[in-house]
Amino acid sequence: MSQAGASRSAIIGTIVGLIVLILILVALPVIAPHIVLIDATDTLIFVLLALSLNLLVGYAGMLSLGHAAFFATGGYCAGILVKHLGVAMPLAFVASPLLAALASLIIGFFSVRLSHSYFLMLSLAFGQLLFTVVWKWRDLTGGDDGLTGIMPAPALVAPWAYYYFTLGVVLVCAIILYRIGQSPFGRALKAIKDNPRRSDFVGINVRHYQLAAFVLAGAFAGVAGALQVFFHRGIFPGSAHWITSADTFVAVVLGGAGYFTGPIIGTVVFKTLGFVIPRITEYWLFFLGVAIMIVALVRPKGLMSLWRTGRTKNA
Amino acid sequence: MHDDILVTSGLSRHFGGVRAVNEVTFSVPKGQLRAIIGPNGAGKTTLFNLLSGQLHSHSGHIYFKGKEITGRSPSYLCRHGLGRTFQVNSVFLNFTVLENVQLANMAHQGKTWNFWSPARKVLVEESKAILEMVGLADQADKLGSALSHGDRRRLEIALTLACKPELLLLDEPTCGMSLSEKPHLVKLIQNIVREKGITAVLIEHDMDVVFSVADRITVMHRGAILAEGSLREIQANPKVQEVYLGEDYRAPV
Repeated sequence: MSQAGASRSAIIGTIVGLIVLILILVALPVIAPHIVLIDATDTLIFVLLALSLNLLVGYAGMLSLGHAAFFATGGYCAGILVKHLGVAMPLAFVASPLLAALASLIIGFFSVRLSHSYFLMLSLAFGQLLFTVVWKWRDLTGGDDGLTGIMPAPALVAPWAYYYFTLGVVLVCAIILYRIGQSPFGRALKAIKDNPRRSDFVGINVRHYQLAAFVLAGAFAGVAGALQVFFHRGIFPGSAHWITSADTFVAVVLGGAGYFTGPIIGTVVFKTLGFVIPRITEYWLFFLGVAIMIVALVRPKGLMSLWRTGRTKNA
Repeated sequence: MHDDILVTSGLSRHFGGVRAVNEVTFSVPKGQLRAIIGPNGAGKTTLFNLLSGQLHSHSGHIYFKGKEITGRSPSYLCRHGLGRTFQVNSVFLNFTVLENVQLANMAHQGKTWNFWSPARKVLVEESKAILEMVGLADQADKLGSALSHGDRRRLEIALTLACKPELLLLDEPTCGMSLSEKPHLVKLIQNIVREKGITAVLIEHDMDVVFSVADRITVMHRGAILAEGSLREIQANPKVQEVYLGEDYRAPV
């Protein structure tokens, strides 16, 4: 009985916390200086990327090191449509997740498999393959000069306007991803992570579910990519590089892959360290590394486990 | 032949030079509780792995409900009414007991392709009914990892039942259970099979269990079928006594 009471107060606490957080996010353009607004927009985009990756890492137990491929596919798709074909931003924005989903369907078809290490290597290899294509195909992508001058719709040009646009898109996507995680499909993914053989023997075709998760995650990464290209007014091959995948991966694990909110916390901490430390020292990567090592040693389940420990132990 | 739910013909599987399952031809009529016995290494579990789709056969055919199922995947077979339990417990350790059965229920009914409704509200009553049946209702909220060995064996059976099997393959269901737990589980299996009209094939080493539940017994030895018959026939069969039963199980008078 007391446990039900405790979980109810925890739910109320979570809801209150969410409302406060959303209020702060909505008020941010008013209360925060310009530079913070820019950093916040950037962070929100990476929150979406991390949340989409966590569908694979946290739910399905698929360790992907090639997630940036779909982020870049989304970004380049919107960028190329706008730059080369003169397509309007809204249409380009919608096309991005679709092309990213198609790319993840094709890559997923070849790389999704039961063995963790093979999937990891294949996702990395396909990601780098895409990076190379982006790097070399100058006519289409601009090569290492990138694709620049990609303007958002006129109404979204002001930083505060683009911030609200990003906030809205990321919130909607986060809600959808949360619902997917809680749905029977999300359960099936967790079951596959927990015990793939048993999953098969209760009637779950493991490969089909893994592929579906891969496509979904790719589509949401594509949304993040589209947000990114109009935010930066351009895109560069670095967005497809495996370092981008690894950064996202670190953010997910730092916050805690086992929690829906883990990637959010992880990205905020990762990005904040990335914004703050370089202003103090040029060796910021060293300090970031130390911070990650401390978390890995002290809190292997991520930062989120700091205040969720009590509850998981009760369960 | 029409009443046989499971038929194999010339089923073989080898591992290198070892013929683990060698030209096995047998059939199980609908509604029967069949026990497969045989010494360690006789090929019983390999036969199960072939029947349930976990392993591919090298030759031979399997028919289930009159249709050939050779080479079908476990998930396909499970959705079409062929369930199995494992010798070593294989449940979802990070799921609660209820969530375990819920998942199996959802998967069987094709509801795991639902991306939107909250899973915790799906098929709760049906899942609780199954827990009631196997005697785990009072532990519904425990994690799979928190269950005792014997209760995990029950959960294992519950997971299989959620798939509404017409044929149940039970791989040593009482393996590792204490002497006090065994009779309960045996009774449970018997009840389920009789009440629901399920056909069951059971691998078992405990002869007391075999003789108390099985309608008919198949004896395997070195990958092949050595004998098949009623309890009495098996007990009286000199070949069987030689390889397996020993002096203790000669037919009573």
